[in-house]
Amino acid sequence: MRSLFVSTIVALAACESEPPAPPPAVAPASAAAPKLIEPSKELSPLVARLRYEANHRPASSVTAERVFDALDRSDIRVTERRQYLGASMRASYCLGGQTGDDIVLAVCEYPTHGAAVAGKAFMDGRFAAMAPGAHREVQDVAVLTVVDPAPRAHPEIVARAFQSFAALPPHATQNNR
Amino acid sequence: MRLTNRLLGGLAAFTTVLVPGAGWASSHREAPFLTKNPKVDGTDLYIFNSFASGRTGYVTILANYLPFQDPQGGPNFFTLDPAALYEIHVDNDGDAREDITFQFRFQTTLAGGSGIQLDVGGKKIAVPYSAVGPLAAGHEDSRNLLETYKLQIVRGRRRDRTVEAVASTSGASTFGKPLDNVGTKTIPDYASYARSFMYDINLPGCTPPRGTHPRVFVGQRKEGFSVNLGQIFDLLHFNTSGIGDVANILGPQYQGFDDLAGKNVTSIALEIPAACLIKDAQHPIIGAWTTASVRQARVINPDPTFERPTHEGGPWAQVSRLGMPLVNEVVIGLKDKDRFNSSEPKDDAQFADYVTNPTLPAVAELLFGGAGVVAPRRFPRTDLVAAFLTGIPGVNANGSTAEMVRLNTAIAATPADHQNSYGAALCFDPATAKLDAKLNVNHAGCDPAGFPNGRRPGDDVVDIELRVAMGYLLNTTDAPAGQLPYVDGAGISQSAFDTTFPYLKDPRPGAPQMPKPGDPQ
Repeated sequence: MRSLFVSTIVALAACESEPPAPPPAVAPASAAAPKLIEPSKELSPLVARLRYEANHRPASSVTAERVFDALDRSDIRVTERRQYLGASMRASYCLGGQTGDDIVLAVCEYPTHGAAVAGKAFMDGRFAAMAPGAHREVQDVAVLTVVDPAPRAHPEIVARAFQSFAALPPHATQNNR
Repeated sequence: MRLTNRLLGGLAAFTTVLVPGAGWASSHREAPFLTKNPKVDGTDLYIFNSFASGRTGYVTILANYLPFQDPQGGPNFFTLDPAALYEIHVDNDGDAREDITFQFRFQTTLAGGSGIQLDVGGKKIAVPYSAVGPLAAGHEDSRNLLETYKLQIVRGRRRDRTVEAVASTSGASTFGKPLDNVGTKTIPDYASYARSFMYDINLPGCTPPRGTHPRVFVGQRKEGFSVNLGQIFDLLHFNTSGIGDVANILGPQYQGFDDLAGKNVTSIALEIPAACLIKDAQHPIIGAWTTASVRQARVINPDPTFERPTHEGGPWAQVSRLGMPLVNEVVIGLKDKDRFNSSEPKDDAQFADYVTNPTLPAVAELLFGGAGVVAPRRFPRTDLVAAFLTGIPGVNANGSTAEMVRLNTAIAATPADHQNSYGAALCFDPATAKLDAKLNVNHAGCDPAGFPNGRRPGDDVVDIELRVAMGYLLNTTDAPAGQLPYVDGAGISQSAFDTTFPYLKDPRPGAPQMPKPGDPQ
């Protein structure tokens, strides 16, 4: 046994330049379609949670997309819309982005108007330091956050953003997701 | 759809920095391979101008290995791997290649070859203990488990050049390593016992300042790194309120969340004259990193003995690499962590994207973006390149673009009681930022002898790197939330350490166990 042991060492040492073995093949799935499992709301990883939030948005007409479309029509355009974690804001779903003027815009959707009011208060209280200069308003179940990159650098744009937001009909039947 | 009450409760204090697949310990269990091989897991590298009295002109290097040592973790405590090669590398000409390497090889033996035996009913029976009676400085007759090491120095490429043995000033080329602090009954005075394993050495090719000698010590120490590890691992953590049982990410530096407070670590400590590390007086900046290597082939011995549970063969394969803290944890992606550990600084261009386009701030924005928090928008992140890969211009940049700890040995050490745990990071004016600005030593709190100019035990590298990652070195347009005083709630400062070599405190004893911070009194 010992001679085999030693010869194995020699063989292993001599094989240093061999390419690594390919990973083992994954066992084939059964013919039946896999059952989709909804991730645990408490423990789901971040990506799964983002997907969960995207698929479980409140039934409301004031959606994040409608808000950003309205802002577009007011010449306030974010260069790229990004989904953010809603749970961090006690929200069901959040979407945001930045304009070419570095103005930060974010819309969070809540289950109810009351939850949105509470969510605004939560963000105002907890994020005063992390998002300095942020202003927020509530419309129906949505909270719009606007952050001017420097204090009152773009007051007209900020004001126009909130005007467009306030003009959104809260109870329209259109769902523009 | 409504979130559950449980989730809302968990988020009430809430919010998070999420680091997928990563830990914030400086380099504890950061790569998949090392989780299976903790003895070669390099955890922290400290390198700084010695600030102990009478040691001006010396540089202290502390290379820590083998993380998460529970003091009571017997009967096999925390010996280093006899089959491994532990190395400390120094680049002194800015080419990202080692010019000086200190090599350590360890050996573990049993007393008398087969260990101490007791006469039990007429039979000699080997004991399971590391020692069978009290140990003290110079008195180790009852020590059962012995650990020694040899130290060598290589000048030039570590595998191509001649290796020279380092001996103590008494001429011995084999050094002893103290038994770990198994408890106060076995080692009543661990401090004096451990000190007896500190050696003055003669370093080939090095003339030390008159009346002094370089030093070496290897042994268990109290873990010096401080980090709020658990909350970051657990996905949902920092709040901004200070309410609840999680740390406030914008709160005080000290919030009692040091998850390593009860642990020990094994430290390889050197104190070398700066003049013997630098290229010449015109090039006072050195870069350093540590590695551990094992033989490429390892076969489990089916008939194991104490001396030979496995057989190793083949060339060395580097499996651990450590320079700047947190790099392989927070910056390098999970798929490349083992590859990073096997790499050399000269080849770091392969990892550049991780630095220029880091994921951590993007994840932070993902979590906080709904409130208008944005990650730095300036790409590539040249500020992080300076912090991690080139050194800060005017402070410790040495011409190379590679990940290592850089120390400007010409910047005088700050006395222990004047050190600022935010180190050189406070030498820049946060209102004007700054990489292209000169070091402002008059800035409030500025301590140019601290991290990222080298790294001292008392430097709060977690807070510093968190702030730098979020844009501390950028202007407010590029990083609107970059000037906030982010913390992890596990503060650290020089007051937690000794003021003499090897600076890290004596390890916590296995028995009786000391209360940890937060334990009920």
